[in-house]
Amino acid sequence: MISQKQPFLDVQEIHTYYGKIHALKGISITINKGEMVTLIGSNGAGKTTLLNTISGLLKPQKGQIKFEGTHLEHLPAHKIVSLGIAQVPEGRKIFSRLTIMENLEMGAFIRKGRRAIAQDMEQIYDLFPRLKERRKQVAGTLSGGEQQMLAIARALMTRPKLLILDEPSMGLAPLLIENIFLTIKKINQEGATILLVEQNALLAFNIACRGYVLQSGKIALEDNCDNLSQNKMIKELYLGG
Amino acid sequence: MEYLLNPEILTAQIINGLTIGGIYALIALGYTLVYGILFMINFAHGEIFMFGSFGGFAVLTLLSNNGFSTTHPTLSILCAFAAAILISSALGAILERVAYRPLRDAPRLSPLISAIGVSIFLQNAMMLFTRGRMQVYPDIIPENFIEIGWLSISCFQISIILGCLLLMTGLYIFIYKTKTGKAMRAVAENREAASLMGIDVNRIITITFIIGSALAAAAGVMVGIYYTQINHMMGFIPGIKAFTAAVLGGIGNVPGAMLGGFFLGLAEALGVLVMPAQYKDLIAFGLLILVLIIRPKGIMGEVVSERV
Repeated sequence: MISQKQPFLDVQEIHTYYGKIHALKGISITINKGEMVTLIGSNGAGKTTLLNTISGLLKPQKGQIKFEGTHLEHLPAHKIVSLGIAQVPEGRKIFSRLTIMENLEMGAFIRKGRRAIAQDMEQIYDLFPRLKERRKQVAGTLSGGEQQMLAIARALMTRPKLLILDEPSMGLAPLLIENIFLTIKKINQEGATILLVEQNALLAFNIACRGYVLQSGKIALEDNCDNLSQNKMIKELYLGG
Repeated sequence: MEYLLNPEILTAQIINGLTIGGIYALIALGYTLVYGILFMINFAHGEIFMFGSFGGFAVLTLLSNNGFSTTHPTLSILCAFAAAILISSALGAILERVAYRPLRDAPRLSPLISAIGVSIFLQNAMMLFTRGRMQVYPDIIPENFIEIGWLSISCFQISIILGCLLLMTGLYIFIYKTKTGKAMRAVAENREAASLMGIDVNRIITITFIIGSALAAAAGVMVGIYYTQINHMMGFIPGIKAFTAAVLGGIGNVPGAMLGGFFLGLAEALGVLVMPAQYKDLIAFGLLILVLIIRPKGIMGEVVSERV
């Protein structure tokens, strides 16, 4: 268990272009099973590009990505999901014209076995009771915080081994953020490995165990979260002095 | 204007309107389904309808030549529908793969031009094949009339209206109740998010083209049986009319296309009561212009609020 030979997710020297912009300039990160790793960096540093490259929405020009030993760099996004990687995209991107239940069903799209899916849906409703109350409503009617819960719930329905979250706190009230982060922590404790991208570095360091700092397409720093939150440069740049 | 109040004429025109309206609606659904998912107008859709009609024609001609259709008329017609649906679906899927998918990320005008090119190509291909001649659907079932009091309704019309309603109900159930249908709606709303759910977006797009084409094929066979004469240009006007119907209902909106089709059919049929029949097309396209000016979103066009 402790002496793992290869990391759970192994990103090696990837270069990704976003249109003509060289967005990722040789990035390597590793995530071990069960960890919660955070990725911080300013706007335009390449955080979302990195996540989208892992989940297959973007293809790297160079480098390799291995998940449990399987190469991901040439797989289409929908196949990567079936390997066990789910992404909660930036801006939530829920299906606003589908009902909440249908959104969750879409999360279970790749799965077979009605009973297991129904059970998971019940668990999700336990985790997010608000969603249960409104399950027959069209998702576009949800508030911002509820939409974020739905986006997370929808990703959980894929039964991910690795859950990638792209700025789950964006645009939410502080109380809701706390709620969402508690949920993320719970999901991690229940066994899912988590890669969390956050603008709010303080929050991220609070719940994650390791962190990477991304600066203009490169990894500037890597350390455990305690050290990162004490780091002078980070304090100045991301924690407001 | 006396005849306007004549219930016999009025009812006859309403039934005519529903018949042609149902056909417009079936074709319109193809436009709206594809638009909903790709935001492009498949201007070759009228030709997919035309190919379906010819597919049905080929099978019916074959079956009537060997006498099968005299002994099994209903089965023959079902075969014609099946063949038409097969041909058009295959054509739709191929078109998407060859003419539209390579242009998926191109500016929006490019697939539109590609579609017009495909449309001209298919018209000419069929013209070469039929040598440009009008073809006549074989007479398999006599056109019986059902008499209810003073009312006399063609069984063809009734069958077409019922057939259209049946297909639309089927489509509705498919889109709202099945997993694939829900995935279609998910892809229509957000392609990236759908692929993050493990949905194979390309597969869903192909299915969308297949379904739209199959509905057009059914409409093609109905038109063949009802009007009996078909030719390689037959897809053009119904294609534009159905497009009008789709816009009327709110392009991208499935119930809207159904409603728009019937609305347009009725408007045309009732319009000829007050103006010469040659002005039928004027009514259709006049309506299109009116809707575009007054309510560009169409009758059922919706505004979806997205929260940030």
